[in-house]
Amino acid sequence: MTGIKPFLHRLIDRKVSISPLVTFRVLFGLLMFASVVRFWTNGWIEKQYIEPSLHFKYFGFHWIPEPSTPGIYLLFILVGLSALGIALGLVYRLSTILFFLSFTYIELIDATYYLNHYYFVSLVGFLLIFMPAHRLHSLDVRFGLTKSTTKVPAGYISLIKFQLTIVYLFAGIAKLNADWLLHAMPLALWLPAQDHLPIIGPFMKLEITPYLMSWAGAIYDLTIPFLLIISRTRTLAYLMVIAFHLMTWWFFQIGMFPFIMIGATLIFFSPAFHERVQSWLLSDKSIVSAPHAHPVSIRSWALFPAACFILFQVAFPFRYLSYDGNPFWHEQGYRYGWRVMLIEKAGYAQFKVVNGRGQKIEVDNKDFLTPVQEKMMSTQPDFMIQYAKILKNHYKSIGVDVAAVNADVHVTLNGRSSKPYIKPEVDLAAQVDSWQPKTWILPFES
Amino acid sequence: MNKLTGLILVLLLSFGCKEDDPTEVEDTFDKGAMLTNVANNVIIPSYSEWETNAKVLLEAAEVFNDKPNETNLTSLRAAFIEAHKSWNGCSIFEFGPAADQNTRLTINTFPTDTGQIESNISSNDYDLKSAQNADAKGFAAIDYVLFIDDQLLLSNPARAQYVIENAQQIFDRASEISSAWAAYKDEFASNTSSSAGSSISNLINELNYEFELVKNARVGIPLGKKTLGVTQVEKLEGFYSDESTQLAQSNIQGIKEAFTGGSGLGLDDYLDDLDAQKDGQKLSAALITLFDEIEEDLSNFNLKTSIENNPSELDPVYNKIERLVVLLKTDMPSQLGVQITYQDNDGD
Repeated sequence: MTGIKPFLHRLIDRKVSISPLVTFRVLFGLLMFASVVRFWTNGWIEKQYIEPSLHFKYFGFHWIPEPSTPGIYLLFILVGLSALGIALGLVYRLSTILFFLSFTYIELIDATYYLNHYYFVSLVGFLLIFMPAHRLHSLDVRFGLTKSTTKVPAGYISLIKFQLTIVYLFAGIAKLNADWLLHAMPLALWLPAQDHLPIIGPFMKLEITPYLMSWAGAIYDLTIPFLLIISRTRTLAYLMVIAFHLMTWWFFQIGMFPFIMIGATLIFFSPAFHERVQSWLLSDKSIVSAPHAHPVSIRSWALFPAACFILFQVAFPFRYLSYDGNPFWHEQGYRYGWRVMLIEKAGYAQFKVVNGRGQKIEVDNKDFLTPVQEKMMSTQPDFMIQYAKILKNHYKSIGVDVAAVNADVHVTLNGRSSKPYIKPEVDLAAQVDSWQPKTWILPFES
Repeated sequence: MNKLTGLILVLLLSFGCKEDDPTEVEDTFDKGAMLTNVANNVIIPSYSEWETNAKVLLEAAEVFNDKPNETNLTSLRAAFIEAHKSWNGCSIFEFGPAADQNTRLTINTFPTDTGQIESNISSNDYDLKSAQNADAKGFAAIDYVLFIDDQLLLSNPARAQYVIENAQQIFDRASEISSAWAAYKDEFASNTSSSAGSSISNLINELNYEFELVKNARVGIPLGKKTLGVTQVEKLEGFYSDESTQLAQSNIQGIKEAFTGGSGLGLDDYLDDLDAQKDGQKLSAALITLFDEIEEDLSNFNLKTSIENNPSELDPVYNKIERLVVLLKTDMPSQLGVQITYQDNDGD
């Protein structure tokens, strides 16, 4: 017992320098702003939110209304401005709330674009609402909207470190499977496609390279949070963070995520490091030496929701264990689990709308879905149910007496030959999406 | 750390080794050489053949317009079929110069809007580039005008003029794309990356798109696959000339050439280099076999006659087309490790 209390004190109550939190706030805000600019200039607002005639929903969030065209642009403007607000520490509380709500809302519009790193951003956005990250080096302090402080309870910083640790650890745990470790899949499919790269290109086609990278990746994910926590290994670990994320960014089409992680993991560095960087950047020693006359403390009631959050983060990714079979195949309990870069999966789904007399309409997916939506739908069972219901309604509305909606679906996973994915006779439109096992998914053949 | 690294290496070697030396570099497949071959020996010759045939078509239309007689009509029709078949051989390459011009839609939208065509001809005041004529131009429009009624065509110069206008548009497009490819070729051949929008990604995307057009537009829809089994023979490509089967075959031939790179390096060789398997045999062989079988099976039928009289006799070949779509859309892109959509993926 004697060990626990000081440990919790060190982790939660102990007053520590606010500076790591300030760095985190500024980098997170700037990276989110850059993400919005990138997304916009790539034309993705239009491609992902305006061009599609329908959107796939998240379980439990079917009620999310689809914004109008000006509405979606306004949402992105809101994300961008609130991200800047976070970076500058301007009307911080409002900025964090608006950022969390607008970003999460955009994500919830269409599950097609689900990425673990968007989920991560939503979680961090949520946590920042409750953090005093604007109490130093912020416009709020300069304008007198809040009192500056140099010390905050360690709990805030610990919580962010915890969240980052969760991301890495679960990504590492997910790699502990035969495809990844014994067959180097899917890297054995992805790396040879990079053989055109300068210098490293020739190594990409060596048989051993995907094995080395698979194992290195698994070991990296499982150890890096601890190597970042331990001060003796921190600098080396951070160099590994930079090298690892830059490499994945160079190889794969993964957007801003590597930079978010490179920025976020700086929070593991010591207060002294952050203070030095901040005072050098601001060349203003006076702010650094601001009095901590207005200390922040964690109210005891806040510990309960924080504990719930932590418990949820630890437990929720494991829900896939309640389903039989290979989660990479059936994808039940797959989302929000930090399973990243683990599968090369492609499918083709021929939907058939059947009328009362058994006559069929074969659906051309291009008539309803964008290429990305079709690609995602063809491997994800919950999308197939949603799509079947949409098709049923559509064909009913044009006068077809729809009796059932079937689909022939073929899926290839990690280089295996494509195989039938669901029972072709099942009426998908009659299925209800739930957390119950979807018995109409055919078993995985390894 | 060093001990750990050593241990990992030992583990890796024991897993990765098998019998052969894992560090041995295989003969490196040159993606740039593959793309160069596809450009030089498939794409550019296909476009130039199309351009030549489009020119012959335009000239034949002008000859017929000057002297509208049976002989000139026969040669005009023959020129039309050749030009159409050669377009079908290169319509798969809808990236780079062809995509800039939205070529597929502009010159080969079918079925055609015959009412709009007739109203254009009788008013003799139309702009083929206008939106209302989107479905009343290109090969399908010529197919209709040339074959719907001999006497009308021989007697009404406005009909021959409509053919000329469309043939001109097709020829202009052909020569624009042909000359643009001379400049685009290097860009195409040097973009060897695997990201979305790279040459290999474009090739795969359009291969899939075009072959799905075979499945849906060229066979499935006329066969009634989208209409509860009620056939729609008039939706066939080349319905009026009754050349649907040959047009579909030229199209499939073109898609196959795009895949094999003709006799040189192509995606099939790339798949072989990656040792891509399908149920124990080479994936490339599985694909080529299906391409060949489909083309062969089609030659036993006349699509129009079969759809009118006995549509179910096409089921076996349609079934093979469906199987090929699955391989083209799942196994092939997966094995190549190529991104076919732009969206970000999850990073690690």
